[in-house]
Amino acid sequence: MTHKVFTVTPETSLSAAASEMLSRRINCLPVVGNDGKVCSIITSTDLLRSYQKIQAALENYPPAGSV
Amino acid sequence: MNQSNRPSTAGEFSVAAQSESTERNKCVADVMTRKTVTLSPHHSFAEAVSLMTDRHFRHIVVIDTGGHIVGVISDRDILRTLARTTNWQTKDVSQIMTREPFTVKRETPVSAAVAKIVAKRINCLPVLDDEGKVCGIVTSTDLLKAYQKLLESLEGSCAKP
Repeated sequence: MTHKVFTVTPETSLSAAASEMLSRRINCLPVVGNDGKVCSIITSTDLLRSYQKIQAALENYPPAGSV
Repeated sequence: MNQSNRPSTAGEFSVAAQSESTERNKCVADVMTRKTVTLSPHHSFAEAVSLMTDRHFRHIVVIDTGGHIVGVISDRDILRTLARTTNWQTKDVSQIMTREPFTVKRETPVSAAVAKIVAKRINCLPVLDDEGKVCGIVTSTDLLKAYQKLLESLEGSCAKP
């Protein structure tokens, strides 16, 4: 197993979580709550799913500055 | 969130808006990994494993002598082979690869590539040129990089000038 574990909190931004995964060359980050316990896990697949949702949402809005 | 990345003047604001627009409309050719590692179907299982462990990648494209794609090997294929077969030492690439993998073209929109990877529960899509030959590979890591850039550009253009 991997002993040196990198974690995020529920409040960590998506871009920060993505940066952490990319720079560490990892595909998942345990999510640690205020009580110091692992409450969830976020994977690169979770982030790609949110990418899909954001892309779909953006199609309905013009780019900033174009209107 | 990195406050220093936020634009503070109208000029910087329009630059951020422009980059956000660019990040939105990317196609596969803009984000793919051009340098792919290939093997032939007759290479051994051990050769595939050592290639993957010696370097930092998780996918190998399998091509025939004409340069056309016949399959893909991922780290998952290797794990599956190790877990389910006792005689993996005797296997060759053609016996463990995923045949007829899903592929995309250079001009495929990034959104379509993301949709395919999420829906098919895979981590890579070989990119084919007009002649049907492999010209690159787009992986979940490449797409995560693109997503990260989009998020940063959105954070930039959403900030008040």
